[in-house]
Amino acid sequence: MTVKAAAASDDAHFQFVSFRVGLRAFGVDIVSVREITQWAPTTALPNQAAYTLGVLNLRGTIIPVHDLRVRFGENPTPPDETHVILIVSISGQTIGLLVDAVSDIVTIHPDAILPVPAQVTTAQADALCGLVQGDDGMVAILRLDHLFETPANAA
Amino acid sequence: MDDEEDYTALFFAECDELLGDLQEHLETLLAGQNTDDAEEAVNAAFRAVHSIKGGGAAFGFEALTSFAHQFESVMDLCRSGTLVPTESVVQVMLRASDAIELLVNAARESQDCDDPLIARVSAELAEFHDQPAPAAPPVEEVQTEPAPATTSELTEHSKISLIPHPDIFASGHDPLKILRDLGALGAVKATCVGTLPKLSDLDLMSCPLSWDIEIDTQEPRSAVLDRVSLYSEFADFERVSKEAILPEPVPEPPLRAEDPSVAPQSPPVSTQQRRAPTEQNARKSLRVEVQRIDRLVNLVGEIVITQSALAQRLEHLGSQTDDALSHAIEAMAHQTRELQEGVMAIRAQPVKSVFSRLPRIVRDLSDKLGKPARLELSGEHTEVDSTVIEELTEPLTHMLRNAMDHGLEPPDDRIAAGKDATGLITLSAEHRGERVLIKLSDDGRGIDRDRVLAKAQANGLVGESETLAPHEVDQLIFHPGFSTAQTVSDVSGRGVGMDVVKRKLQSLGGRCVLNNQPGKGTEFIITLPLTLAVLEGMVIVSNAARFILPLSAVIEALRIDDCSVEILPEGRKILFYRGEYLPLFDLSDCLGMPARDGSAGMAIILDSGTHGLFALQVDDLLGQRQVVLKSLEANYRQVEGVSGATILGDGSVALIIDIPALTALGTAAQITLHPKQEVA
Repeated sequence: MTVKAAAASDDAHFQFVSFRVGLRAFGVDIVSVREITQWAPTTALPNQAAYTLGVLNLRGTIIPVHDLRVRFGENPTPPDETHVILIVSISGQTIGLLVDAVSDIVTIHPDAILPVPAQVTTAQADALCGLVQGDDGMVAILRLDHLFETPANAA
Repeated sequence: MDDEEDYTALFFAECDELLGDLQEHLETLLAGQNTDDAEEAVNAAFRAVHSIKGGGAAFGFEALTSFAHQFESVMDLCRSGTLVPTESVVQVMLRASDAIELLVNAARESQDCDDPLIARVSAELAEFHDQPAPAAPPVEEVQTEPAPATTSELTEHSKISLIPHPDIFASGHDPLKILRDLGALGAVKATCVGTLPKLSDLDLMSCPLSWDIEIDTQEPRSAVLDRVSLYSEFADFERVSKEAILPEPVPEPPLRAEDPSVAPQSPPVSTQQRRAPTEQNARKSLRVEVQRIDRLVNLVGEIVITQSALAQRLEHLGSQTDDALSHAIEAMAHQTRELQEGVMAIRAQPVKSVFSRLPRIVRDLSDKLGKPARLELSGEHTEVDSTVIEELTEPLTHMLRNAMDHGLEPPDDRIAAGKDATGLITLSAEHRGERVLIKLSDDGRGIDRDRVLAKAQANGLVGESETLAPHEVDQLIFHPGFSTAQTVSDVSGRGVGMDVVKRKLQSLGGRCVLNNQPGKGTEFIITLPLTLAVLEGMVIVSNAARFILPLSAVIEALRIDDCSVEILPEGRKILFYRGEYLPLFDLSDCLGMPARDGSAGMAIILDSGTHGLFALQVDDLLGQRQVVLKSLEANYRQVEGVSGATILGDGSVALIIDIPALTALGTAAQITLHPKQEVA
């Protein structure tokens, strides 16, 4: 789901959930967000990427949880209940994102989403689909389907 | 459109069942000595083909319909006694049932079927038709190329009236389709008769109207008869003038008579009477989408988990709880268990659906190998969860092929050995506690241990000087490296051997035991769980995390202090267990978990299935419990070393260890450790 597509179908406004990971602010399209739950202990999986914390029982469904701090090159998020898991759906699968705190739901005009400068070609830039200048600084909107290696985009 | 697709899917689902029935009835016919049985079998087979024909016509599968018609008319000859169902006749029918299966599959894929078998069988069927007194010409010719009217036949105005049955729509038909179909014969003039009920009384699913039809056709009368007879289950046709168009209502027992005794032998008198049993039967069983049942099974799984969480909470409260509460929780435990059993029973299917395909394999192979053989089935009605049924066909077929190819001797050898020339293979199923026990045995030559050993030595599986106990030699056939080197025969050895069978069974939580009596025969005993939705597991702790080991693979749990653990020069650990050294792996290491702080307290002896026994070092053993299997793939992906996950009583997730994969992870560098473990 790109920002443009969402905007076109939604009468010229774009809503995203903003959250903090370390010192930085990120946002995801509100359409992808299923729910927000408190941190809970996860069960580690063998031989997975460093950012994959493990799996969690979400009312009878097993979902993977990824630590966004690790994904963006920081130290692991301390495992405690001050953190929050954002449950999102990406191409039919439900996954959890461990973040520091959810800040707000923001409604903006699609034109307010600025492109990521083309010169920036880090692994992180690929996972972003736009930048928004907010009151407290920049919010990077995540491109969820490029965030993690999945069977679909691993090849 | 969606509706149409739904109906088509339903039709094909029904076809699969009908084809199974057909096969079975033809088998009965082939085996039947008793004339009553034979008669019933012909009738039942006829009904199956007739239903396929009717459905095929409704959906416009021309090739299928015309073939079914041809097939049906041959069986009709048997029913009327014009044709005696001798063995050769039944053989043709069996081939015809293969052909019809091809046609059904082609129709399912919306493809044309140009398999030569169809034309061949079609010709064979036509032959029967020509033998007795001239009956109606094969319908095919009429449909594909309308024969030019022979001079002797006059243009005939056929007047008939079409009275659809009230349930015509429910059966997937449509009067319009019938009219259009008749239109293929010539100009059709249809006049609607009947009164429309008041709109408030109108039932959208029934057809209150009927039509008077005039067909201006050049076709012989028999063609009109044939066209119309296709729909005789869904509508009545009355000849307006002259004699009745349908020769006599065909005895049309219910479509889906579960109990053969329900199927009437004598032609019923009227339509009403004829259809009554169908309605009754419809109430007896329901067609439900598997997905709905699966959802129910999952939900019940949740309830079981929640229930055990509740019970655990209560235990923590200890003595403070009042009796009424704990009694209620206990009652609930019973009820949830019963609920789970009830829901699982919905999904249970008799193993018959797998077994019924096997006699034909035996028959085909008998011909191919020149080894007459008989397959005796028993316990076909044993019910197993459909998840297991689906997975069972492949290994069973493979084992049966093996028995035919390698097990049974050629007839001359059998006679020389004082056995009956016809080989006997028996296959049985029965419930044994929470598992199903399947036995496949043959009375052939058994496994030649000298040959097996020689082959294993040639393949380097066993050292030249090694001596193996007889049962160890037998086990060699399960070794992955064994069958690939065998001479490839057309029938069984294609590089897929018993190791594949055993691994498959193991992945289903099953076990396979071989009982070899050289000269007398071979017996395979398979035990499988009744379902793949729940699993009996052993809960263990390793590195502070809980894991589930499938109980089917667990041989024994030992305290590590009581065992003698040795360390080989290169640092690998081995454990002495009942007279042999087993490789000892640490679960934590196998799964690549971070270094542990605690010490391993237990060693679990496990059966890897293909690589013999091995020992797994874990921290602690918490006990046994039934767990509900959850997939990791649904929201993530497959994880090596793990076959799935489950939710424990406290709501946390525990991983279920995939034992065969674990040995692969652990043994990767250990092949040369001790050759005997490989094969033991």
